[in-house]
Amino acid sequence: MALDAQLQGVLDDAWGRFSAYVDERLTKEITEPKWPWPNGESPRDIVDTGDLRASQSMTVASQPGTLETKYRWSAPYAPTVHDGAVFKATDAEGNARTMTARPWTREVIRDRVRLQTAFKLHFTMAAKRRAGRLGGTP
Amino acid sequence: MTDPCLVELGASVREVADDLRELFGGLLGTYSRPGGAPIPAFWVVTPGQVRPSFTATGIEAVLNKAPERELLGGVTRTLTTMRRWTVTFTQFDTASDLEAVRLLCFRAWPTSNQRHQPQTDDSYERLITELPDPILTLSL
Repeated sequence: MALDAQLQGVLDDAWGRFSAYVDERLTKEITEPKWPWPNGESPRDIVDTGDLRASQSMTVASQPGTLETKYRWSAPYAPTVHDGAVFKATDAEGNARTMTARPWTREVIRDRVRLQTAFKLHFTMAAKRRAGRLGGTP
Repeated sequence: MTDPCLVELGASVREVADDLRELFGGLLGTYSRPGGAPIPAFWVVTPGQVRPSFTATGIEAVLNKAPERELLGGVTRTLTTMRRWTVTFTQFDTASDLEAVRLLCFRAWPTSNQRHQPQTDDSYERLITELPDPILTLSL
């Protein structure tokens, strides 16, 4: 097998597993009781009905030379939960009602060192698996 | 031997706020305070701070006082960090939009991240922008 094809196989394997790891971390951010909330229990998780968490999906869209994964939340209120909102309805004093932002993707995306470390680990493991299948030293 | 001295080269919150006032001053709406004169609808918020009881008209800009930080890398005695200042614009005039703000942001900070929430029946239009501010930290 050509070296390019072998390398692409390792990358696809590593990227798929790495993407699943990020997917899991994003879900964990939603379920972690870490989000300040102005009323009642605080901090709390972002799970109310569970619809937001259930609407999370992942699409690995890699092509040779490009590693790409898209994460999507199809719940219609996902942007409002993530970035907060200012509502047109007002309180008794006439002030706009607001919703506190809970940007659950931020920490996962910004923790670049952790992401790099995770990808290196998945790449090394994928390379070992591939070497094992090809009869090399695993 | 003296303690290492850290010098951080980057914008202060005051400088960022001044830049924003200069750039968007003409577009901003006003806050009306009970018994007070209207003031520009620009607010520098500390995380966790409760929103003041101001009635806003037009466009409001809220600058988060605590920028996010992301370590990009480092060489001997120097660290490069990307700070991102979050500014949230809200359009309280339901007959207008935030297009002019979006374009100005894009011209002034072409690499800024922007997330747009269109106006709905229930909520006002918002533009969440993250302004990049790379800084160097020197250990002397």
